[in-house]
Amino acid sequence: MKSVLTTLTVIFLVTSGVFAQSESFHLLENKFKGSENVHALSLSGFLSRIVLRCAGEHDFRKAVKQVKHIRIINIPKSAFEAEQVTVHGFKKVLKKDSFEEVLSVRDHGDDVTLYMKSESNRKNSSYFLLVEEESEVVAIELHGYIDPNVMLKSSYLSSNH
Amino acid sequence: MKKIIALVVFVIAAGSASAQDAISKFFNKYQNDESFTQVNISGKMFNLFTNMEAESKEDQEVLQAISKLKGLRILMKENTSDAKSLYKEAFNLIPIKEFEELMSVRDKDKDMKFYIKESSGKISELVMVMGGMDDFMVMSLFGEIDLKQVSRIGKKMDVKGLENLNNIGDQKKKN
Repeated sequence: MKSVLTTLTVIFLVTSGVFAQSESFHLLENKFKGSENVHALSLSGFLSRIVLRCAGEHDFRKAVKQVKHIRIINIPKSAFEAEQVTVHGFKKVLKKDSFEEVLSVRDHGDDVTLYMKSESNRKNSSYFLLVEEESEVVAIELHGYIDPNVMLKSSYLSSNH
Repeated sequence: MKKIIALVVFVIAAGSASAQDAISKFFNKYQNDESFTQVNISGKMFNLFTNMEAESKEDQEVLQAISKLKGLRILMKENTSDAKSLYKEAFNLIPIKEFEELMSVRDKDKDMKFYIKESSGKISELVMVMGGMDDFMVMSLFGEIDLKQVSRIGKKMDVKGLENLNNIGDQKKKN
């Protein structure tokens, strides 16, 4: 049992280190470090798929089947106000960090924008999903590859329930 | 000198405004209205389909058609009592004169009109306006558009209404 746990820990640590976070995500983490109700999570793609399988999120699991690493940070809007920064301002940071807007959906006040940074090897692309809800902001950074067919379909489906 | 600068800025602004897609005016009017749903897909998204491997010749044709698109915008409102008035308003705000009506569909609970902008034999924009009893939707697809593939693209994205364009490419060729 001990060796299994050690192996899993080593795999997790190795995969965490390989996919360095973007400047944008790093900035968010640093800015809101220690703020109340801010939660950050970093998972390897493999572990994410296990979690999604357990949660019954089969469509999402399929969408990230070639994703190697996922980072998530959940920030209350009140923390943005406390730090005197805005989501609009952060979108400028993303652009400066070479993320290009791929799609956006605004539905009943919720704003979802997907950005992407392409690499010469498209299997190593970076994606940044920014979800702005009434009381919180969720930022998800993914490294790896997402099938454009899945992205295209989900953009309309997400607005069409 | 100030006047000249102001004039130059105005001319540039006017030029960029006319280069926007047809439903920009409509989008701008309702962009802060939370009762509307907006979808905006950039050219970057469609570019991702370039050089993708396809399983069949048919899929390859669809991928090629998708990769030539420059953007897609959708504005819709569901379960609303003002769907009819929005449908009428759309024709006032969208510069319909710049377009050619491609097709209109009317059934018992909705009206649907398709318009295209064409120059030198190429379609650069397709606009669909749909008004039902309680749903309204306006969609603008722009870039280099292959009409024969639009219904298949719509199928790929599950965009309601585009299936009506099935075979329209062949019909247009005959005309």
